[in-house]
Amino acid sequence: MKRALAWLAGLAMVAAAAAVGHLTLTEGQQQSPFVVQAALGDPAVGRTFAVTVEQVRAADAVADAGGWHAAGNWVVVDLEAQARESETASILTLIELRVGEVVYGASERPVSLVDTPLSVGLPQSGSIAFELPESLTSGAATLRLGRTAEDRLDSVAELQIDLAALERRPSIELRETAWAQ
Amino acid sequence: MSSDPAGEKPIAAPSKATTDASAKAGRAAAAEAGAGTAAGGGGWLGRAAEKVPTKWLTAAVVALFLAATAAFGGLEPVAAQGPVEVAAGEAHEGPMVSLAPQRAVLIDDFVEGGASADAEEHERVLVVIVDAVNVWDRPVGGLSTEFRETLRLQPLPELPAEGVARFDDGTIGPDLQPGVPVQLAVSWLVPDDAFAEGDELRLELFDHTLHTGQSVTYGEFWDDAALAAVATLEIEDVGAGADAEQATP
Repeated sequence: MKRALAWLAGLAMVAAAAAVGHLTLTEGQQQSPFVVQAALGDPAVGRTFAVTVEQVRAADAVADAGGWHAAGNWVVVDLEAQARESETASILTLIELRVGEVVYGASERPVSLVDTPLSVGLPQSGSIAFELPESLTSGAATLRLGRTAEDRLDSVAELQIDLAALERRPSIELRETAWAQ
Repeated sequence: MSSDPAGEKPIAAPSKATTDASAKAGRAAAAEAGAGTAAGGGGWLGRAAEKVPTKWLTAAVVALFLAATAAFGGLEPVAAQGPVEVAAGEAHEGPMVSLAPQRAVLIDDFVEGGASADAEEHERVLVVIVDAVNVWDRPVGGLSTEFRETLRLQPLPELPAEGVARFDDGTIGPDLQPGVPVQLAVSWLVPDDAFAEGDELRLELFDHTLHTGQSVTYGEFWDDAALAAVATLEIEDVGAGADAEQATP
């Protein structure tokens, strides 16, 4: 009887230890960003910023209002963005497109909303362009927007994109960054 | 005199015998104790422990270690792997970027590529045109330390690249996006007597190792650059450059 009890208690402790091991959040989970799911046309409100993604298209070439243009496999995001409480350091520095494990950054080649300081209450309209490898025209992608490239424990707006379903144009001119109408 | 070792022996021998005997007795006692607790379930363990030939254990471990060492080549020095020779236009694929140096150009000034030389300081600019592809899974900054460390001039190994620009649209310090090929102009400010037309430039290509942050560091970063390949390019001296030639009638 005593022996059976000892075995039971031992097994129970092993099970409890396994449960604790499985249920405890990993460091990555403990520090993961607060994701705000965005939808086309709806504002996604983060802690320090609010963005409204208006359309996402693909193009074989892009141009900006300044005359720069380049061929390639581009994904162009048109959006409005504004700061929420402060205009200090209000640039969206996390602008990336994730396809599986691979992360593509917003292209700095055209003049775009990249590196534009946001204003409180006055949304700005503009575009962001991503340059992808030629062969990457299908698959699930995630657009991620956030205040800092260091996204741990801060809000990140995420929009799910199906690359194959994007409207593809021969050429797109990026919006000039301006106050939204 | 000779009786001393002889006299010692008989004493030494019994003492060894007694230690053996006492050890045996001790083990027997332990076995007995094990048997005594057999009612509690530990008896078989004691008996199994008794059978382990502790005398040979150390020797066996040492033999195993030596055998493993011998299997990996013993104490023979490992053949050092020298850097690979890369021809102009040939790509060297590193863990972070794939680089194919195309040609080397010596020019008076290259402001548009991010390297502004001071002629009074006897500086000129050495530009290497290189086809690059980021083979990592996130963007690599063109002016980042790790990227600039991948390309070095053999005669001036400590000299970091001054400018990195896209060859097509002149973007200075472009980000290299994963899998997107790009032609770059990488430039160094060099003493004007260091290189001349027709010289062979030995361009060293370094590979980094990807590290993952632990305890006080976080994220992934490239470090520990090691020489992996050397490209040989013939230097072309274009003087003040094509634009300047067109500008001056």
